[in-house]
Amino acid sequence: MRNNTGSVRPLSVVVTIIVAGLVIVSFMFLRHGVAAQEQSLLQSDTSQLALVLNEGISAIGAPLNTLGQVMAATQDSPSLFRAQTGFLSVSPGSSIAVANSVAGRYTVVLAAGPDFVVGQALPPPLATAVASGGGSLSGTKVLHIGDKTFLGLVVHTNSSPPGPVVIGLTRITPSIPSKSQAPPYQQLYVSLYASATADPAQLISGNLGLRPLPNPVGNSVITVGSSRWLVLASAKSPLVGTASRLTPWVVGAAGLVIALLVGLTSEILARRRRYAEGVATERTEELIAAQASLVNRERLSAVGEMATVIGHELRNPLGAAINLLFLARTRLSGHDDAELDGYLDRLERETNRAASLCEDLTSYMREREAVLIPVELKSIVDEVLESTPPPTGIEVDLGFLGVYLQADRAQLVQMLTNLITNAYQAMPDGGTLRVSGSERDGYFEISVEDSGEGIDPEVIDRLLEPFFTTRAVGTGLGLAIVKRFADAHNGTVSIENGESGGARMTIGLPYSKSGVTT
Amino acid sequence: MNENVRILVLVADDNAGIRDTTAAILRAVGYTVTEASDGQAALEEIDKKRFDVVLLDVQMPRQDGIAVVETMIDDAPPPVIMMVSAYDFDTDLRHHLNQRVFKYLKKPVPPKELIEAVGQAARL
Repeated sequence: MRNNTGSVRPLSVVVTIIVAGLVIVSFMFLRHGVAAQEQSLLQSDTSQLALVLNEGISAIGAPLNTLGQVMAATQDSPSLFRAQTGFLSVSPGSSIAVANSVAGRYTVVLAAGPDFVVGQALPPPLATAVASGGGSLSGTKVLHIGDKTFLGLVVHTNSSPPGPVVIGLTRITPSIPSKSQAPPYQQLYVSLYASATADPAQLISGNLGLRPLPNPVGNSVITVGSSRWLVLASAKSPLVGTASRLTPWVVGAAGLVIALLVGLTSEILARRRRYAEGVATERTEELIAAQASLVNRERLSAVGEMATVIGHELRNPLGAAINLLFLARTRLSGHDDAELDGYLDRLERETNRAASLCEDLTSYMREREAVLIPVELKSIVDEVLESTPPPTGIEVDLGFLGVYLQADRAQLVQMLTNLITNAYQAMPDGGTLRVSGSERDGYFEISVEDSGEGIDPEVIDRLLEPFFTTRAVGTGLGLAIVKRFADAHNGTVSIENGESGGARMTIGLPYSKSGVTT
Repeated sequence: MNENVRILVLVADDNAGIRDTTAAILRAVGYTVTEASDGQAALEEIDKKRFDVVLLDVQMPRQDGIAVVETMIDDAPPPVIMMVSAYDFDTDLRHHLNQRVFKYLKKPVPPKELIEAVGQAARL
């Protein structure tokens, strides 16, 4: 049978891998493009954000600058300070102070808001920031004063050094995420550092608190006076849009499906081709076998025909030889030459053997359909026993044989003759021949059993083959003829060793009681 | 043996070897034997003499053994006929010739069987 399962063809695997490889490369390329686009958009947003922040800081720094100039011009006028700071509308978390340097220490001279008191010295971190600052406006680093955290803007006035400084101080809580939903916080996560690098200690504010921003991250630096602050931002949702973001995945998934389909199609085509080749090969083999069988049958038929002709034609010369031998013996009767007698005995045996070979050969080779007529089995057995009587020392025991069978008379006689002759030959020292019959499963079985030594089980299967014999004499065709004739009756032949140890050969012929008409 | 001399036997067979040796065996046991090499010759011999026993090969040229039997059916008194053949005698043939044929012998006929069969025929 053709086997169309089995392993996948290498070509299909290669095709699938190539297409899948192309799909993966396309996926990577698209994904890289989308990521680059995302980064570009984010950077642009971050830069815009930096500009906005810069403007905001400038908006806070400008009034402080003005206040610094006013304080310098008025020698720190309290009334103008109050008017200015009131104008600045100091928010609850913010404080403003004017400090003067006395003997290297800054002391608050004017104060507004909760975190400055007039006369106090500036706390050390703030004092350090003020001392290191320069120019008109600068931002401080993140300041830890007491248990609070601040961010300051410092304006140095340009009066005689070290002139008064104006300090704006704002409480910050960088660890708490900013809840602002105002643009751009709606779309972006933002972190603002009071340094040019993303130093967590310098985080001013962020809507993720101290947590790092998810990638990708855009960055921009803004300048606050002489200070540089870093702005980092990342998008809450992809800026390129869902469709663009999903494109590589859609292309990848669709591509892989296409790769599989291409592979599958290649596999199906390969299998169909192989199936067709298999069918063609099978048909060719069948044709070759049929042709060989035909040639063989013709050859066998020719051989059979030749064998039949030779077998027939040899009968006449053999018959003449047998007759001449008889005449020679008659003429020589009364002589006392034992050696000559031996030669003649041998000549007679060999001639008879040749004659029986001719007989068997023509019987075996003759193609003749069984002509079925009702025959009485018992009378046939009697006839066979009469024409081939048991040799001395062999007793005949007949069982139940009282039936009529539909059989070819001549073929049945031949079958029984062969089986009975076989049984005689199996008992050279005498014994019992038993012929019996019984009905079984639509057949009538005729058994011929001897009380000889039985058959070697190894050769039982071969006994029905033509020219197979275990005896020194015999053509090896006797049982083959039985088989051929039984087949012509749609019957069976079986050979086994019986309970007594001798061989039992059984012919089964189709039988039904009602089917036999006499 | 002397009794056998009066018994006339016809042996009809186209095979010279079989015919000669068969006749020789029968002569050896005392019969008076005539030979015929085909069916036509057999009928001519039967016209000339009144045979006691006729041995007919079934397959012969000119007229075969069966035709010989059918032709001589009106002869009276009829000889005892035995048919000899290298082939099996099928049932139809046996049925057809049933009334006229005493025995069917298959070739090669063992000499003892031949002598016994002719002896039986001669005693009829």
